[in-house]
Amino acid sequence: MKEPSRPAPAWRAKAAVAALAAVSLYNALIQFGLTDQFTSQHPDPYSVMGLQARLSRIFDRIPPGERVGYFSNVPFTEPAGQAAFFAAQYALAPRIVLKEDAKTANQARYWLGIFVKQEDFAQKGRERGLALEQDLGGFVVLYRKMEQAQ
Amino acid sequence: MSVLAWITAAAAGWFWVRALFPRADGQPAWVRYGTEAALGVAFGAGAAAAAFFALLWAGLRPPDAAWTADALVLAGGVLAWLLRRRRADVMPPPEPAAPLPWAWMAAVAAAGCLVAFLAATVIYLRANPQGDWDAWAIWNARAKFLAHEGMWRNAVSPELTETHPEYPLLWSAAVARAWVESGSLEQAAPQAGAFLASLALAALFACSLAASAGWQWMSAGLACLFMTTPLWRMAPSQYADVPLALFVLAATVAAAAAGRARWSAPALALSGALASFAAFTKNEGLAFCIFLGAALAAAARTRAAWWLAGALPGLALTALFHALLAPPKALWSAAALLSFGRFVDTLSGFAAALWKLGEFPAHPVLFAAVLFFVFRPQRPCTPLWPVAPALLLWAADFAAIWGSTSAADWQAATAADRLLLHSLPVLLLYVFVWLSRSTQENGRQNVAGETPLR
Repeated sequence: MKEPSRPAPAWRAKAAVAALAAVSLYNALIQFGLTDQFTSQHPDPYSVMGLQARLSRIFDRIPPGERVGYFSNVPFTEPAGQAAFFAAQYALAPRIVLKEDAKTANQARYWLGIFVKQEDFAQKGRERGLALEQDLGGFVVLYRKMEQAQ
Repeated sequence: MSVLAWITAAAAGWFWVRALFPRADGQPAWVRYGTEAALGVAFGAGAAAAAFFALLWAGLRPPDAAWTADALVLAGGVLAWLLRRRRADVMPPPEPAAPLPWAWMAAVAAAGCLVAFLAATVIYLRANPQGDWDAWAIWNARAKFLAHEGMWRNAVSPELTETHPEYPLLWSAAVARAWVESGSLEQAAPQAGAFLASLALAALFACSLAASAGWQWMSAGLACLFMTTPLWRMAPSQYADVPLALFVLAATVAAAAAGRARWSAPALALSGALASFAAFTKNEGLAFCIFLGAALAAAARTRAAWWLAGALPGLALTALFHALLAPPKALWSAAALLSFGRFVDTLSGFAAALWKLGEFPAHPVLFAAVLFFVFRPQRPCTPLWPVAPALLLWAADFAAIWGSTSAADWQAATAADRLLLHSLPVLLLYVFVWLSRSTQENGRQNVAGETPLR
């Protein structure tokens, strides 16, 4: 015959509740501390808001329905390259941003170049048939397709 | 104004919830109002966003679509409330729960955790107004397309190869609606949405547990929920995962309430609507919606037709979106499902994510297990059907990564913790309800001689 299981002793239940309370509260303080530390050390780690502020100067120059071409000297296979591209797309939406290897990229009249160091930005554009329209600072450059620029 | 758009949606949602959610005899007022407020946030945000997107698709300009959607949800809610305010279905009081020894300690911990959680969320949102990666790369980027006049179709353009134009659009539409109504694209709109969804998730979990098991078990359950590390990370991320977890919990809570109120038709319809909002938030939500519908069909039989009636508008919108708008994308591959290596990668990824649900020794599953072994439930968990959809969702998530066209190890490493978060509040809720009921005998003997706290 199966013996009915005995209830847990009261001290065990109290210990479990005390442990739950202590550990959860300690964990909450740890999580809060980690959040505070991370946010103070890495606010906007991918400079999304910074790029948005930089690109806001050209919003009224590019119609909302335009496709904007995009190239960078940071490969898209690297997280920094992906971050730069997605941040540009976020800032320029509702315009669709197309990487230079996209099928429809050659239709884009405006192009955005994002670099990680000072280079001959005009030359980088000319290599792709683009004319430098405006250096937006921070290694961010707006180009225009050569035939439109002329 | 960005914040006000969320509040007005929640207020409109509250009328629907007040009209459709059953009342419980003898329930403390704070539990009732807390449940209604949290469900109101979920229903209001979901209904207003779904209506906004449907009206955009129908050809209205974004401002017209936003204000018309608000008017429709509010008018419908007020009408439903007027028609049903004296005919609300009633739930019987829940089984009395066992008193929890030293519950005041759990209450202090839960309150402390809540304050720390909300403070951490606010700090993160202020320092990172753009949210985390997927927020600006996917969800809010697509919201910007929806918010601009004549540009909403860009959100589903096949040219957005990296921005997942095939993903459902409910949360992006919710953010876009707030942007349109505020008249500017300030980050305050998605920030407020993220904060409100996180607060509503915690409040609904707490109030649902309090309604079933009393404030003592609510405190223990809430303290355990806040051990979930991904919840701290996802709450301020502005991803669609916390809203999805909210819809999953809300639909389950409404369905369970319907079951307790003799399969109340209005509560079933409310559950159906909330599940359909989950379906239009993420593909995982669609899987959950199917599982909940199947569970209800098995448990409620023909009464499940009311659930389907509630789900129909949202499900129709989701189906039309996938059929007519979303660019085709191969999500599954039979060859991937036959790969044992992918199975192992997925399994190890999920195991790692399960381990990382908490930071040892603070781990929700670990502490649920500790309480299980301490209180040793004598009876099986009943009813089981509300838990089944949440468990099946985990199984479906596993199968989706195993059979996906992307690298299984990368997908599991980056997404498994978020996938586990979708179902975790439901599962923790039912574990604590189970513990509170099946330990009655234990509890009475455990605390014999002590003054009951409830």
